[in-house]
Amino acid sequence: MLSLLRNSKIIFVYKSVRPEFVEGFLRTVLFVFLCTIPLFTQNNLVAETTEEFSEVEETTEKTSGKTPFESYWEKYYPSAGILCRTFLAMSPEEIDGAISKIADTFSNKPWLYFQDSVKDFDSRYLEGIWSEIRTILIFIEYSKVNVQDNHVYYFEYDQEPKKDQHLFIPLADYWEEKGCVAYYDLCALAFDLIVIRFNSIVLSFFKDRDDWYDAESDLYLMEWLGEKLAGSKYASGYQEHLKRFKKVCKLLEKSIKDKEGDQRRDEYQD
Amino acid sequence: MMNTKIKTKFIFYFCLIFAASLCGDSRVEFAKSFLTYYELNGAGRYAHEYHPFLLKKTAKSLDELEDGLVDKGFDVSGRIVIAGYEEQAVPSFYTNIKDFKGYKINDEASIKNNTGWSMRLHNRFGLMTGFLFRHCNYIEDMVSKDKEALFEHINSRKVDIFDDDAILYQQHAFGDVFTAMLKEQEQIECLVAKKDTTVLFDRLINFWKTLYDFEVKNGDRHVAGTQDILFSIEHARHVKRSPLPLFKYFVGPDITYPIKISKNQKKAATFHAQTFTKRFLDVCLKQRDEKPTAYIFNSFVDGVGKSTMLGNIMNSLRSGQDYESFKHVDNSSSQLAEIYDCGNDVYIADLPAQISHFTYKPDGLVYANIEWQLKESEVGPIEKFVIRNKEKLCRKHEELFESVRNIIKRKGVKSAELNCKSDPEKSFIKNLFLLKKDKSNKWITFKYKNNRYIFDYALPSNIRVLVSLGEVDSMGLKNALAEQMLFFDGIIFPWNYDAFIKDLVGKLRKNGVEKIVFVDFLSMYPRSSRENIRINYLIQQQALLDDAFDVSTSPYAEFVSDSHLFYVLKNDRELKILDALEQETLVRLALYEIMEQCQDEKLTILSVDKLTYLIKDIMKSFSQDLRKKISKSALMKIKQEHKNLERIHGCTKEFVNIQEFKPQDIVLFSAELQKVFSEYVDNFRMRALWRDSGNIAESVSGLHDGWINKPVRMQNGDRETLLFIFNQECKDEQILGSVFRMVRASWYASLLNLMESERIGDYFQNVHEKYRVPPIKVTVGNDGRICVLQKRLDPWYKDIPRKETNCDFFHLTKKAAAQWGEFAGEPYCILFENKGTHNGLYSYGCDSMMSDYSLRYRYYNAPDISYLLREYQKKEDVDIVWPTSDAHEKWSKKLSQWYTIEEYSYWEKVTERLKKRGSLEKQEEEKKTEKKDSEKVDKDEKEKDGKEKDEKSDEKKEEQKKDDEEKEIKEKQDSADEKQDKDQKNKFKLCNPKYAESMRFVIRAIATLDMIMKDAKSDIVVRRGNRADFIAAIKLFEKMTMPIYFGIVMPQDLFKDYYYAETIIPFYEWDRLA
Repeated sequence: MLSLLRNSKIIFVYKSVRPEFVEGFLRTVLFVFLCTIPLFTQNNLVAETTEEFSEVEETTEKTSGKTPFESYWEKYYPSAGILCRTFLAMSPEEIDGAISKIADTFSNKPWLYFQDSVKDFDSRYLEGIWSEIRTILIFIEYSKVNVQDNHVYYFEYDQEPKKDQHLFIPLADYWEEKGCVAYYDLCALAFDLIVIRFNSIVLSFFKDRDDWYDAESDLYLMEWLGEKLAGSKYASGYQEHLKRFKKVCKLLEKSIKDKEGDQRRDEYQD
Repeated sequence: MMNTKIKTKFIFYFCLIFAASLCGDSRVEFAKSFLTYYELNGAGRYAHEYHPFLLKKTAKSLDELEDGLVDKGFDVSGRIVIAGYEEQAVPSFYTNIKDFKGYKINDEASIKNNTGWSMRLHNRFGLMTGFLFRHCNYIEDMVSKDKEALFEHINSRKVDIFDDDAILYQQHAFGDVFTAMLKEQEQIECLVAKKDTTVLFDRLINFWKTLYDFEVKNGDRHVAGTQDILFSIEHARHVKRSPLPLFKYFVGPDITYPIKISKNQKKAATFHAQTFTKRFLDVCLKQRDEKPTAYIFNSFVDGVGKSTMLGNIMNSLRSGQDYESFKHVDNSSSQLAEIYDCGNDVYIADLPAQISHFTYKPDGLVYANIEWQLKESEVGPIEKFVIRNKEKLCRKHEELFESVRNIIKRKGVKSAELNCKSDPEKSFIKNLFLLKKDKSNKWITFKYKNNRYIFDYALPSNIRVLVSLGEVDSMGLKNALAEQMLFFDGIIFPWNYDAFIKDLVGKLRKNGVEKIVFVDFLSMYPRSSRENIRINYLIQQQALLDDAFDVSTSPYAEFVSDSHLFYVLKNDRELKILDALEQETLVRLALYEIMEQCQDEKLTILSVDKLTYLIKDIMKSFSQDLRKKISKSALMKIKQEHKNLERIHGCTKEFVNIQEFKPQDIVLFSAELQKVFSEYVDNFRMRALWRDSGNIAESVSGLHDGWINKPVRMQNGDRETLLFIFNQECKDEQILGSVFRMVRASWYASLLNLMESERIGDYFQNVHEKYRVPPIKVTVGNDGRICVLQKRLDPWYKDIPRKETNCDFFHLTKKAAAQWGEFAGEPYCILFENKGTHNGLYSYGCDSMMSDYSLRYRYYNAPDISYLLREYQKKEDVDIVWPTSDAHEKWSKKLSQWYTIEEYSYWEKVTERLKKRGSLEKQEEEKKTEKKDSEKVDKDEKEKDGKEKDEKSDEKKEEQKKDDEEKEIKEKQDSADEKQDKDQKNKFKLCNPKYAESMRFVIRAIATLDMIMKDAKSDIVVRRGNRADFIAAIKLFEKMTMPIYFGIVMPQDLFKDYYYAETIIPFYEWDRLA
């Protein structure tokens, strides 16, 4: 089933073909699904290969001077899972450049990530974008740079390099030291997307929502992203927003409890 | 000739002083009005000029203007009102990375100083007024149908906070007044539908008066109705009084903001202004009754966007919607009316703000940010030039700096050399000396291609260009660094009001104007633009008059927040702020008198020098009685502000956790810890780690405040890691927050190591190093800043045994868990980066984040302090701290409700209960051989190290094998330990009486630490100097933290009398707060 899903042409639609709406929706669902699948095994190797990625690798060999990322980025609707694979063949600085491109596309032309034109671009895609960014952020969180060979290695949760632990620096720390800032752009963008989702709960509260759990879980995500933004130009601004969201979430919780109290009172009176 | 000139001047000054001495009553009236309405808070900084004494005069003059034009035979047909507001007064509830790239207006000045970033000022009541009109377009659509609407809200749907669904955000933004605002909105909407403008203005006036009189606070505790609301009230009263019909009422967000595209301001930022300008041109700016018509742009005060709106109109008439080619809008608010021909017999008469007929106007040059002032293509080369020649430019500046210092020594600050327009650099440096900023200044002067610039030494890409106040961009007008404004063009005093009207009439007649429409700018923006110039002048003027004047101890200090203001007021024992306020009143009064006397048929321009001389003389003529009255009123004002601020901010987290922090306390505490661990502890490792290495031996002056993490050489030759450096005055939560977290967690860990040891006299025996953390020391660096240092360890090359980590226990981050160093063969966590020290272990078991390591809670069966905190915060606010004294009282009450026991029999009941359950054991003594073992281990390690050096590379493989084997053994041990830990989590130990003395010390030390340095987010706090809180903290730690986190229960109370429990450092400020 998994291999079927992975090999499905839906997720690697060639750019010349305009995907249909249903296809786009399926892709979004698939992205979310794929993000939950661990893409990498221990020892820094990719678990499974895909036909598409092999194709990219072949093309890269032929086109000299281009990284697998560049070849893939030019040709396909990108998928975060595959992109992360291409990162393993790049230096941390090259990954920073790639992240910059991804952040730029997501913030200025999000539709280009999924289809050929802005037409029919649906807000539901935002969820897809978030899950793509999340995959990349998780990849960054668990990746480390070997300062000796300047290569990036991916370690699954709770795994550590088997030897020479001291040579490995978390990728994000490496970027911080080198002054690479694209990672912050990506985190800020992810924050923006979570805020949209959080706000959809807060704004629809008096209409049809009666729980704050989703808002609270979004708040945790924002905190997670806020921690990543520490030290960037976004830090103080986003922290201010976070403070406000926390207070609004408290108000939401209070309003819901009041609402429940009213309902109970009504039921009792009935 | 020369003599006659001097004589004339002398007579002029003499007359001035003589006339001034006659008007005693008006002096008292002025001073009373000024001081009564004075606001010390950040928002009031730019509104001090608008006290009722001047407002009444201004309002009267507006009526005179209208009547005067009618009398002169003009057909005054009606008026248009423009009521803009600041959209960002409540920021959007959507974040957008583009906002950081110039897609939104973000021009409010904020200065970075030793304390932190000063407050950005916003106008809340403007946005609140806009909120009342948020639906007016729908109503007009329904009522007016095909006719032109009377009320129009520009882009109201683009203002997020006005969204009908954003009720929770509105509640948060507008605070308690929100419900009343909804009712007010309904009323306003009815009046919009009826087009009843008179009653509508009445309601608006009442609304503003309510905000002001009741000091209504917004959700973030900022005053909504600041002093500048008074001129909105007066202007609205004038409009209401006027018999002229209202043609149009525009309201909208930043609708008169200057349309300009620069590196820091993209086209999208001024979208509302673009919409409004187009709309105004389409709907309003037309000939009336086919007669030459003049639109008279008038306002009550400066900074309502009158000139900028005019600029937008003229630019639009010239270039249409090609915003790229818009020219700079002139800011030089003139004292004369100017007529602009808009074609087709339509004119705009731009009048100076009405209040400028009753106040002075400083003029000169200002250093403005090049990213706002220049085009993107011009910025690059200057930046490159600075970065390439930084050191050279600094050297040149140093030379100039020294020469200015010498001139001041020889001739004083008033020397002509230092006040010459052709040499502005000298004047800027003179200002640094004048305002006592010569040591803290980081701006370097330089010339580049005929322009004068300064750049920030710490951030060379931050460059400012010297421009005239007329040409400067809005951001430049808001430059709050007083030394960067050079008032070469003197101070302009207004002319006679009748002469002004005469001049206006003449100009209108000259252009053949017959019809007149008043355009009233009732906009409500922050008062930080034009008013900022006056304040900067006034700061310089006060410094010229009084050598002792210091901005940092005046109401114009750069306060980080209102909590900071409260802290300064509370600790101002020498009453310096009071002195500064008195002095300001006297200077303003003298300036007012000069202005009254020199109202003539023409403008009077006086140089700063002459004016200083004149003010001094007038101030000398002030009677003792007047001075006494001023002193009394000023004292009352300070007391009143103190009381208000205490009510609002006295218990906020920002005040208690950040503002009340004094770095000297932690320097003392650090020294005490060092003494204890290096002299009185019998553990070899600890003594070695905490050994005194002296001060930092190298210069740290080039380092920025904040996280450093770099090695530094110490006086004894050791190398330590400089983790943080910050200024003694620092009150910036961003910096202090992370310092507090790391230092607190590290010191907690160090102190907890002493818990299970025997204390005899000052000595701690059998100390077992359970939590391995390299010591953190806090000292004063060689540049006077506070340095946070950590013992530098070699990297740890082996894997870390799981039981060593304790990361969850201390709430350490993942990053911290990965960074280990080696000392004497054992791993130490070298980065004590923390998720928060306001929860769980650090907060008496209060785990509001539900992220705690502790599992013993449920076996302990004591009232949950987290629940009590939630109850407390429901009543108060999440921003309000909960003092330990109150927390302990409520907890004890709950306890007696649960078990019907009193606090004195607490341990009896606890031990009984635990014994019954069989979960109480006796605390075993720690192995006495621990010390010997550790010494043995160290010796072995050293021997091993010696041998290792001799061994060859082939042997390394064998070592690796050994390592792997060791690892396996360790892993097995770890898992066994984990199992044992789990079993232990429901077990409690009865405290060994031998340990009681060291327990007492540890608890006192931790309570002291909690009092002098709290986490920025701490909810339950020990207020600085509050003995009741300190005692309660000891009790809570003993009765909650000890059993829950360490499983230790006491046979009886630890202290015989808790009142005599003392801090571990000398503390002289007890009970100041209590």
